[in-house]
Amino acid sequence: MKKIIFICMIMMGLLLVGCQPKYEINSKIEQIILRVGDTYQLNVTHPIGEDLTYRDPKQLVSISKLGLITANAPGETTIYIEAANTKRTSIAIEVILDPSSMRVYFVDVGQADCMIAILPNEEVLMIDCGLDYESTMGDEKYPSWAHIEEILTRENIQVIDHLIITHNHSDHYYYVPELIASYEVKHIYSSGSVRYNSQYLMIMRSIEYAGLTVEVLETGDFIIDEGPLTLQVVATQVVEEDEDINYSSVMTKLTYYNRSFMLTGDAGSDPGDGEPIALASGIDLNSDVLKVGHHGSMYASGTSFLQAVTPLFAIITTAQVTSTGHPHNSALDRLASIEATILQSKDYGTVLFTTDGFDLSYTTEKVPS
Amino acid sequence: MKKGFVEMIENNSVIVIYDDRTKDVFPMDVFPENVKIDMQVTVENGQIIELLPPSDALKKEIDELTSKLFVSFKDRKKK
Repeated sequence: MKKIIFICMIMMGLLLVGCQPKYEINSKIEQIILRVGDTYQLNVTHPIGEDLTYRDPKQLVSISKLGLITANAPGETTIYIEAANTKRTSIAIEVILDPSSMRVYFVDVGQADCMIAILPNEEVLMIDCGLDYESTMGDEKYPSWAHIEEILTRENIQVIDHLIITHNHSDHYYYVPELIASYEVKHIYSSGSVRYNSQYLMIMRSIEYAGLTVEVLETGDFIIDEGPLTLQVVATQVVEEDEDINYSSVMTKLTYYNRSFMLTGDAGSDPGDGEPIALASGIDLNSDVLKVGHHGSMYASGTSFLQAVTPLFAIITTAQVTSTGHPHNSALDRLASIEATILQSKDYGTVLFTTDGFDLSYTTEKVPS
Repeated sequence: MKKGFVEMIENNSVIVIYDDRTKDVFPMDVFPENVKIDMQVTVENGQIIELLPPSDALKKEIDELTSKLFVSFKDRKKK
């Protein structure tokens, strides 16, 4: 009797093995986001070239025999890809109807930083509001504040929902008191690093006077996490009194559907600096637009970081007059090697990117002579 | 005579910001080797006549202020 049971078990095992699909479809994509009317060519293959069939039970998309998807109606669905004797695979698809647009200004503040984004949720994000001290001699200041106000006025902005101070240098936070005095600022964020000088004290006093706090960020924090719209901290740290303040730069990634912006402050590539922290974070750094770290310094935009970001566009905030020589040739060479389109504020003025999370376009204030 | 502080030391240049929010850029070699950011500087006729670390009173004031102002982002989000 035992012998019969044993033989049956072996036969059942063989039967089960025989039922297992022999092949797996080659597909690396797990999720696709499309707008109604968009098409997308699937890149999936069968290991021995069997014909694949595609099926969307909800029929939000239509799929040709060659795997060309057309998005027909908004919603979420899963398409199934099948073939004989092959393990079925699936891809999640989200179809969007008329997504809102997002506008991201890299304001020409000379060799200083200010980015203003009008987000699709109608909030306003500002990263830094600095004065170009490089071009400022004596009382004659570069019109950094005038350029910031020009954009805020153009966009009819009265409220800044999120203000990130990437780090405590004048070319990144000089105009915080002016901003707080003239506009309603809801949240201020920083690395939590401290300076011990009269200017820093004045900036902190202005924040206290406005009844605000400074929210201290950590790597990985999501400042905004609203479905397709996210703003995540990819690197930051507290630096001590004698350490390089640039190392504390709050680096963030702003994402809306399929488009992303990597915003770096003055982070660099040396060990212990922001770029290695971002690389070690495990966060996907791939972005369409890179605000180049530290005005194009040779100590920023390391090869490993650029290969992880692979930007289409690289914004360098710099001025005609600098004592630092920014941008440095070695950084420009590394950016050229990844074939990014380089847009320097000294040549193009303020640069505006517009995206609905799918298309991405830009306009510049000036055309280089 | 103008008083200010060392804002930045970079590429052999020292940027000094004065109390009236104007600035000067000095070559590194006009400063002693121990120059650090946030040191308090007194300048007269383009010469550095005094260089001191930030005062204990200033440090205490800033530490007290930031301990009130700084809050954890994570804690704020939880509320």
